[in-house]
Amino acid sequence: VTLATLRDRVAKRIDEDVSQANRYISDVDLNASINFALSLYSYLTLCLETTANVQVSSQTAYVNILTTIPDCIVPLRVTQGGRRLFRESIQGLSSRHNAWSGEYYIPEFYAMASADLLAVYPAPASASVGLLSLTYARFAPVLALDSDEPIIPLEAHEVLVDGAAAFIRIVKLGGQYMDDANDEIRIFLDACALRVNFVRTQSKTSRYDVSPPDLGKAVIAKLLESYK
Amino acid sequence: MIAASIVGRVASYLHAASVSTMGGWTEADLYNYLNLSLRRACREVAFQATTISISVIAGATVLSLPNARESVIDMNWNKQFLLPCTVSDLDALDDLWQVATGVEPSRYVLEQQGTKIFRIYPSPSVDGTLEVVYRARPLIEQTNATTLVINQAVDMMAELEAVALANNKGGQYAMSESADGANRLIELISTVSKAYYGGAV
Repeated sequence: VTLATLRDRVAKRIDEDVSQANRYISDVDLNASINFALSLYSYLTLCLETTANVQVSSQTAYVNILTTIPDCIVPLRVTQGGRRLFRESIQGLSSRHNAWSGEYYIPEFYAMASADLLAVYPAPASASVGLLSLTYARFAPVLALDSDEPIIPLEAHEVLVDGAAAFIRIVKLGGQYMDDANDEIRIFLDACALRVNFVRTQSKTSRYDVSPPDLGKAVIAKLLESYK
Repeated sequence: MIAASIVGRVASYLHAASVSTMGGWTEADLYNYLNLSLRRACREVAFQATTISISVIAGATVLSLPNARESVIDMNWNKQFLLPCTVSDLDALDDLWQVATGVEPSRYVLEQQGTKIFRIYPSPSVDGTLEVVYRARPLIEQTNATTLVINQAVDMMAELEAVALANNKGGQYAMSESADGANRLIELISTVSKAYYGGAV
């Protein structure tokens, strides 16, 4: 399904006549809403993963990974020279060695200080052992051209319409349209929850370091309750 | 994150053709909302952290943290881990901790009355380097067109919160139900983000 098709479907859902030149909801608004739903879907489900290299400088314990991989949500698996690094917390690294950030050898552990700052222990003794391979969950690329298609699983394309329509109703229409937004968010989050179950199972099998949080009925119900 | 893009989209959600033709808000208002939302997002969730090296002269005890920090994650002296302490911990450890000297510090304590100031214990007798790892708080300037490198979830939260804040403060132009709806989505994204990156420390 292309961006143009998705845009038409969202417009129909919110009763916007796309043949009108001077419309209340513009194509820019519609594109933004579709991209919001797409980003939210990939963020909640961690359904997209890829691998890229990140260089940690010699004798340096920290690296900002977003400068190299700006679409990264969270690292799932980190290796150096084919060998897997164990995931730790920053506090855990401090417990292992009171001068952990000053130890230089081949990295064996990594920790995330935040969404962007990755620490390794030991810090790489040279640049050659500081080259990490990160398998990470990533955001879906933004749909810009009318011919662009979302790269999330095919069965989720239709619920992008629900997510986008709900977004438009919330941020721009408000008022009486919030009831419809409630139904659409339920459909969107139910689809996310289904995908999350699948990804969690796969993640467990692959022994990834991070899985998406369970979007059970309780979480969705709590969110929807607040819209009533 | 490109702030100008978010501000442009929010203006459209507020039914304006551009940021210069908004009814109840100014462009500066939207940048202000964006900064408030960035601050909230980075306070609630560990979205951004950075490191800074501070050169310390022998005898120093009281030092300053950078302005744009939310909380300290880790601190080391010449790569040696410093233990975070409270004032009562140090009181129990050493009656004279505020004037104690040693070769190298082993602990640090954040000032209670404003966490910009911190003390190291004992005061070092030699010069050295402190490396502070801290949760950062980005600031968007209206005149600054540069791209902020930050997790894209912050874009989503910032856009929603700017809408929520505008609709709560826009007088006759406000739509409170839009603000409520946006806040609930922020709550969902924030909850998931805490699971990925950790929350406030």
